[in-house]
Amino acid sequence: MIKLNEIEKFYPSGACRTYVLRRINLEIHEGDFLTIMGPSGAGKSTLLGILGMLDASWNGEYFLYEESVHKLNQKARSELNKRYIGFVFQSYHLLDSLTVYENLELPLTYRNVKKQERESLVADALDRFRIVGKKDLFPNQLSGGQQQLVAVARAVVGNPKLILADEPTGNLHSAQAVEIMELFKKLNHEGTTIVQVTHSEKNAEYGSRIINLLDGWMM
Amino acid sequence: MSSLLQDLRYAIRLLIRNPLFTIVSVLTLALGIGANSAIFSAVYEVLFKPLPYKNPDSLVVLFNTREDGSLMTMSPLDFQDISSSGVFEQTAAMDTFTLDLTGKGEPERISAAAVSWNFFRVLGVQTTVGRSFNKDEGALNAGDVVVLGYGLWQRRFAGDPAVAGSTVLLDGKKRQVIGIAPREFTYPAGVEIWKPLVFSADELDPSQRGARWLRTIGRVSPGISMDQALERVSVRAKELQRLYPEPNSKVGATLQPLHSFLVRKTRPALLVLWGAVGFVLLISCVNVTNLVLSQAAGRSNEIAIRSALGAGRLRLMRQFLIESIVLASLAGAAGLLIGMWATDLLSRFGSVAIPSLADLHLNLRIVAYSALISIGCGVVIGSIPVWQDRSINVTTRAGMRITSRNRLRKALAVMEIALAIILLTGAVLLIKSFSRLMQIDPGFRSGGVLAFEVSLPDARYSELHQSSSFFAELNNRLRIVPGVKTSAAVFGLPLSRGFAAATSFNVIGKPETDNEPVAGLRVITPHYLEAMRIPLKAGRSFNERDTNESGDVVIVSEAAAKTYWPGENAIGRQLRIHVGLVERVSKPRTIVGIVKDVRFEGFEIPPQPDLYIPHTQQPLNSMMVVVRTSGNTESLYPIIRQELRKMDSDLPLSNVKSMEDIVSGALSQRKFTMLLLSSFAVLGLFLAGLGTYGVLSFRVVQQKEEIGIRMALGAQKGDVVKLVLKEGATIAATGSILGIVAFFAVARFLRSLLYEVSSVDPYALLTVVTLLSAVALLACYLPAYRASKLDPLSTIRYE
Repeated sequence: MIKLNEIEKFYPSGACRTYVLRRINLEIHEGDFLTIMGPSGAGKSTLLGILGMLDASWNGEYFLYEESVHKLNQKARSELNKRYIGFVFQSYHLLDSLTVYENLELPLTYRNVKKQERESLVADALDRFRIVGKKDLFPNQLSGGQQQLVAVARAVVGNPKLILADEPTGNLHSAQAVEIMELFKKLNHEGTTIVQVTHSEKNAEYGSRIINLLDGWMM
Repeated sequence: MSSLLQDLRYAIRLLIRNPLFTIVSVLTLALGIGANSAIFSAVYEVLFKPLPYKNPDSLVVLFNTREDGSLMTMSPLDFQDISSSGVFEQTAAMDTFTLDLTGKGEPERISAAAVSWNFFRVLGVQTTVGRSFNKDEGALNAGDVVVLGYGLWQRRFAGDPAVAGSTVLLDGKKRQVIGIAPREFTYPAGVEIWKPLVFSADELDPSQRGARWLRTIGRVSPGISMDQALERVSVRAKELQRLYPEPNSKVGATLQPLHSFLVRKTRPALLVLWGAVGFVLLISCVNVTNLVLSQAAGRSNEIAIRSALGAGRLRLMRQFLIESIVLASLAGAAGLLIGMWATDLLSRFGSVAIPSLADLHLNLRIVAYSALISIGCGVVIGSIPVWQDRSINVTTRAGMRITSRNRLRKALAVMEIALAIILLTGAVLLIKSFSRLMQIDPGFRSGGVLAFEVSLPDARYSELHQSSSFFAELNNRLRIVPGVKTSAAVFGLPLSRGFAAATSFNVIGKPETDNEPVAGLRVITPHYLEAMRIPLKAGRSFNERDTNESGDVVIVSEAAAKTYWPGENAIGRQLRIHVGLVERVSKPRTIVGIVKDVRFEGFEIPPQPDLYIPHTQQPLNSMMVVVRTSGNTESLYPIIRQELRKMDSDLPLSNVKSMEDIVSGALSQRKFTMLLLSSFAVLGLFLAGLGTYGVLSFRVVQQKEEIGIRMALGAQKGDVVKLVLKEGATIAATGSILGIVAFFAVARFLRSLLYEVSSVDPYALLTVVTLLSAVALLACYLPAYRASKLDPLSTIRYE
C-alpha cells in the first residue's frame, strides 16, 4: 500500500541542516496496524505528517498504491489525502464552533460528497460509534473520551483506507484509552490500515508491527 | 497615588515594549484627532467665535420680505419706520461702494461703506485711533469725514497715528480722517473706509418708499427677546402695508441675528465637514479599540496572574483605562502636529472659498479641544474591553473570552465599514454634484479673458459723455495691443459677485399685469458679446452707431424673450425700463438682438431674464473691462496699467482677475467642501480597510489550529481562502447595509450642498458599495492568502 524510499526531512539551520528524518525506508501493507514509537523529538509525528501528505517539504520517494506521491504537486497530494486517509490527533482537534454532526460532516464537504449521501454517511457514523444522542452538542459539552470518539468517527466517516493516529489516547484516562484502542482494533479487523504514533507500550500491543525512531533514524 | 503612578509606569513600559502596536495606534488616532483639530479651528473661527462687537447676541440684521418670504434690502423710509417699532436700542443703515484712493503712492480702489453716524455705536466698536462719527456728521452738508480700516492704515500709512486728523484724497476729493477702526473690524466684509450715510431729500421722498437699497442692522433693547422683537417688527410692517398700500402691499419685515446671517452660506458646508471628521475620528477609535482588544486577548494570562495576586476588577479596569489614556495622549500630541499642518493648509487653500479662513491659526482653544477629544478617545478605547469583560470572571475559560472578544471585534469592524460608507456616499454625491455643475454652460467662454475694474471719479467725470468717451477710447487702445483680440466694458459681469442691477419694465403693446416684468440689467459697450463669446441668437449686437443720439435699443436674453414674448419674434418689439441707473425715466427701447442665456448669480442658479443696454445710452462711471487675448492674460497686466496711466494717471486698476479665476471662484466653496469631504472619505475608507484587515489577520492567527485541522481533513487552499473571505464578506456586507441605512438618516444634512443629485442617488450608492467591496476584498485577501500558506502540521502538532 505504502512504500517509502530514503525519506529525509531537514530544516536549514544557518549554513548547516538539522535533520528530523534520515533515510527512512518503510513498507506498509494493507491491513497493517503499525505503531511508530520513540522518544520525543525522534521524528514520529513528522513521519506521520509526511504519510498524511500534510508536509510537503521532504526528499525521497513515497508511493501510495500506484501513485508516486513525491512527484505530485500539493493539490494532487491533497486529493490523495481526501481519497485514502483519515486523521486522529492527540488533542482531538474538533472544531469548537461546529456541532458533533457538523464536525463529522466537514471532511465529506471537502470531498464534495452530495448532501444526501453526506447525511447518510454521518448518520451511519453516529450510529456506529453510538453518539447519535450527542450529534447536536458542541465539543466543549463532551468529555475528553467522547471528544476523541467523535474525532475517530470523523476520521473514518469517509471510509478511508488508512487511519493515521497521533497519540490518540494521550489526553485520555486509562479506561477511555482502552475504549479507543479497542475501536482501532475493530476498524483494523474490518480492513482499515492503521498507523499510530504512541509512547504507550500498552497501546503498541494493539498493533501488528512496531517501528522505532531515534533522532530521525529508523532503528 | 503611588499605585496610580505604578499603573502609569507600567502603561508606558507596555507601549515601549510593543512599538508596532504603539506606532500604528498613535498614528491612526492622530489622523482622526488632527483632522478634527483642523476642522474645529475652521468651525470655531467661522461659526462659534463671537463677533468682535459689544453684546453681539443682541445684534440683528433687518430685512423687508416678499410674499414668498425671500429677503430684500430696505428703503430709507421703511428703515426709519421699522427702526421706530420700539424694540431697538439703536439701528444703523449702510450702503457699500468703492472709492479711489489717490495722492500718495499708487492709486488704489478701496471698498467703502456709507454708514449711519451711529453705526460704530450700534456695534459697540471703539476706534483704535481717533474717534467715530458724531450726530452732526450725519447731517446733510456736514463735511466729508471718514474712518479708515486698520489694514488700509497699516498698508498705506504705515500705521502712523497722525493720519487721524489729516486729509486723504478719495475720488479726487479731500476727506478728513477722524479715526482708525480696530484691527479685527471689517464689517461689511472687505470694507476699508467708512463715511457717514446721509439721505438726500430725493431718497426720503414718499415716492421712493419702494426703492429698497439699504442694508440695515439693529441692536435689540435689553429685556426684549428675539421672538418678541421679530413679532413687533412684523406688526410694524403690517401697519406700513396698511399706511402705504401702493409700494408695501405685499411687503413684510423680518430680522435675523447678525452672526447667523453672516455665516448662513458657510454653515451647512462646515457642519457637514465637522460631522465627517467626527466619523473619521470614530473610525480611528474603533480601529484602535480593535487593536487593544487583540492585545488584551494576548494578555489573558497576565490578567489571570494579576487577579490571582489580588488585583480587583476595578484595579484591572483602571490599568486598561490608564494604558489607553496614555496612548490617546500621545496620539493627541501627534494629532495636534497634524492639526497645525492641516490648519495651515486650510488657511492657505480654504480662504479662496471661505475668506474668514485666512486668519485661521492654532490657538489655546483648539489645543484644549484636541486634548479633550484625545482623553475622550482614551476613555472610550479603554472602556470597551473593560465593559466587554464585565460579566466574565478572570477564571472564565480563555476560549469564552476569545469568542466574546471576536464578536465584539467583528461588530466594531462592521461599524467602521458603516461609517466609511456614510462618508463615501457623501463624498460621491458631492463629486457628482460638482461634476454636474462643471458640465453647465455658463453662457460665455472664460478662457483667455482678463477682467478688471475701472471707476471714474464723479468729481472729474461728472458729464455723462465723458464716461462713454473714456471707455470707448480705453477699449480702442487695448484692442490694438498685440495679443488682444477684443476689449469691451460691462456693468454686471457674470459670476463676479459684484454689484448688479435689476429692473422692472413694461412690454409696450401688452396690457399691464399685477406682476410687472423684471429682468437683470447689464450695461455694455460694443464688442462685449464678442469678448465674452456670448452667442447672438437673433438680430444684431451693439455697435458704435448706437449712441446717445440714436434710437434707444436693447438686447434681451433668450429667457427674457421666451418669458415676455412667448411664441413671438421679440426682435423689433419695444419695452420701457422703469428705473434707469442714471435717468429716472427712460424712453421706449427697441429690441435689436437676442442672446444666449448667461448664468449671472452662480452655476446652480438658473438663468434669469436679462436686458443689455448700450453704455452710450446709459453711461456709468464704474465698469468692468473684459479683454479677450490670444495668449497669456497675466502678461497683459502691465500693458493695461500703462494704457490706463496714459489716459488718467490717478486711476487705479483694481479687481484684476482672469475670467477663469472668476468662474473657478464661483465654484470654490463647493470645490472646497467636495475636496475635503472626499479626503476624509478616503481616509475613512483606508482606516476601515485597515480595520477589516486587522480583524481578519487576528482571526487567522486565532484560527491557525482550525485551519490546520481543516487542511488535515482535506480542505484545499481555495477552501481556506474562501473561509476567510466569507468572514470578511459578511463583515463588509453587514457594514454596507447598516451604512446605507444610516446614510439615509443623515442625508438631509447634505441636501443643501447637492446640485441636481438626489441624496439617495442609486448610482452613487452602487459606486460606493463597489468601491468599498474592492477595498474589503483587498483587506480580506491578504489574511486569506496567508491562511492558505499555513503549514497544517505545525499548527496542529503542538498545543
